[in-house]
Amino acid sequence: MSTYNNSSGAYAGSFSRGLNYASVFAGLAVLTLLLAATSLFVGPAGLSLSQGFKALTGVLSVDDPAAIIIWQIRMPRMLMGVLVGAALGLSGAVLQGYLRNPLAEPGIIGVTSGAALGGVIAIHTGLAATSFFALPVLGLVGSFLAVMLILGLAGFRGSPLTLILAGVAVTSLAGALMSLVLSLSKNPFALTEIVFWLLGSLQDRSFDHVVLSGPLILSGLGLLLMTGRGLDALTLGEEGAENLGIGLDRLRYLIIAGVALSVGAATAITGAIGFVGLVVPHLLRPFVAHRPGRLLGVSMLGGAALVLASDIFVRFLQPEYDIKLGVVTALIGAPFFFYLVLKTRRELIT
Amino acid sequence: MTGDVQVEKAQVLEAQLLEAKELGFSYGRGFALKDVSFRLNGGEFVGLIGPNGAGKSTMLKLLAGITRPDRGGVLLDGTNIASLDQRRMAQNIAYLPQQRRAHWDVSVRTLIELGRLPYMRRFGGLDGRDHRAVDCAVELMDLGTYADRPVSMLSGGEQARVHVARALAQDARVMLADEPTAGLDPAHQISLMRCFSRHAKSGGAVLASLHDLGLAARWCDRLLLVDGGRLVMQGTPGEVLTEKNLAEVYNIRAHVSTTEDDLVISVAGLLDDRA
Repeated sequence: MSTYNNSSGAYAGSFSRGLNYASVFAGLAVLTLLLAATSLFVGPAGLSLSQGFKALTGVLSVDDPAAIIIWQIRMPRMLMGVLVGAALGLSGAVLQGYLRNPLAEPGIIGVTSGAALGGVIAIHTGLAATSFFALPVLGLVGSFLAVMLILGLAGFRGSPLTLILAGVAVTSLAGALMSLVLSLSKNPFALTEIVFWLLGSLQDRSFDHVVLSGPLILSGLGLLLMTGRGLDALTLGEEGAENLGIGLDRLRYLIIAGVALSVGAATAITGAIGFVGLVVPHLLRPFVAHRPGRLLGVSMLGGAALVLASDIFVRFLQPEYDIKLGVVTALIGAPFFFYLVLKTRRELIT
Repeated sequence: MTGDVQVEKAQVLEAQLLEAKELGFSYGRGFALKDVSFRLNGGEFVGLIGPNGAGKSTMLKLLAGITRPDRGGVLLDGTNIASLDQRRMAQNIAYLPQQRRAHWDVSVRTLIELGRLPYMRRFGGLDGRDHRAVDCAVELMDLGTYADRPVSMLSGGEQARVHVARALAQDARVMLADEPTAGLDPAHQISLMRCFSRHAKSGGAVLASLHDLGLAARWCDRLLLVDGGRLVMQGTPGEVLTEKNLAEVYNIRAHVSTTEDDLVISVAGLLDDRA
């Protein structure tokens, strides 16, 4: 990961352009794989390495407790983590590129809060307790309605700014409705459950969750990966991109549909996991020489790696402390925000 | 380099590339562009002059297909650009906006390579032809020593040259440039004018809005004079840049004299200053 493709290196800070794209991508892919493997061997059950290997390779029978833990609990949890992380990381990179703003994140267009509201309603009404599918399906319905509302507000044509404004409007509405549901909730257990769900977690996610959300998340990722050229061209602004033959309306559809499918489905399953979509693209941008198109693939991997690592950390603390995944990512993300503020201040001064 | 010789050359090539037909456009209330018609032929370097707010930028945006006209249309080789696909447009018309910003701190070369997007396959990279076009643009704009630097490390004038290079790399027959010389030092202004002039001589067409009337007089084959959203006059620099026109449109007192191969314009002051 340390080959410098910049032969001249004549200026200071060549680190920022130095790394070769293929090696950055490969390095992140290896890191993600290692974390995925690690997450199969870590957990409060305290399985030994050899038990884990035996379970994975099918030496143990399917009914063996170790095999059940690995295949029924840790495997879906790991897969869900990869899917959610990839969705958040990639959506963040795409939205930052489209809005040309390093502070953009997947929640900005309101899809996350739509999904969260759907989930909250499912828990409040007790539907979540009666049917396994109620929570994720209502979450999906919530994110779908949020997208419809955003499209209605921001229109099928229009500038990125109107999209942000529509996102803020939808987010505030969903937030208000969530507060309403919370204040109407008389059952303290439901209230606790809602609050914990909102914090975001990968705990107790099964293969059913993966099967339900996987195709949606993957198709969303597919749409978002098609935006690279357009985002590169937007480096020159909207007029510049249009003159380079980029259809801005098509780009807008791709982005709204891609974020809605991937982040909507992810949030419907895991609750709102914050900061991944903000931090990951921002951290990786210097490694791809600030090219918005090249940021996509690496942010997808980086998002998966960050969510897996955070979830492994969560499990290290269990069973003594039950900290939610969203809390860990927020604890990583918030100081990062401080750093961004300080950096921006320095740049404004100099 | 008199204007007449250039015009004759243009007539020899006689390939009409871009035509504005009775263009009309208005931004809600207030400003409106009315009934603008002209032709841009292959081999011509045409200057677009007029005071601030005359409608120069709007005209260029309409021609580039960035803004759609309320009335009339723009024809590229006789076909209305509204019916052309965006990629074809991008291969034929390069547009250099007045706002020249790089939103991300990419390298100079990366930014110039964006000019090749209209030619790239969906899943391909740059091919040999693309690299040659980029190298050529880098060379023309004298950016060789900066190619690997991040654009933010360049001065304003250097950044302006990077954006011109991006438009040149697009290798389009028609070049539309909105105040391309703004922010350039005199040497680079001349090399840019020379570059546009060469582009025209090789059969392309250039339409550039200019505020420096001296540059316009010296380098352009033909001038379009706009004022208040209307095309007031078009002709050779000698026909357009008269003391009377300058007084009426720019509200300035100017002395225009001709030397052997140049038109010399010296601005004495504002019209109202006479007292």
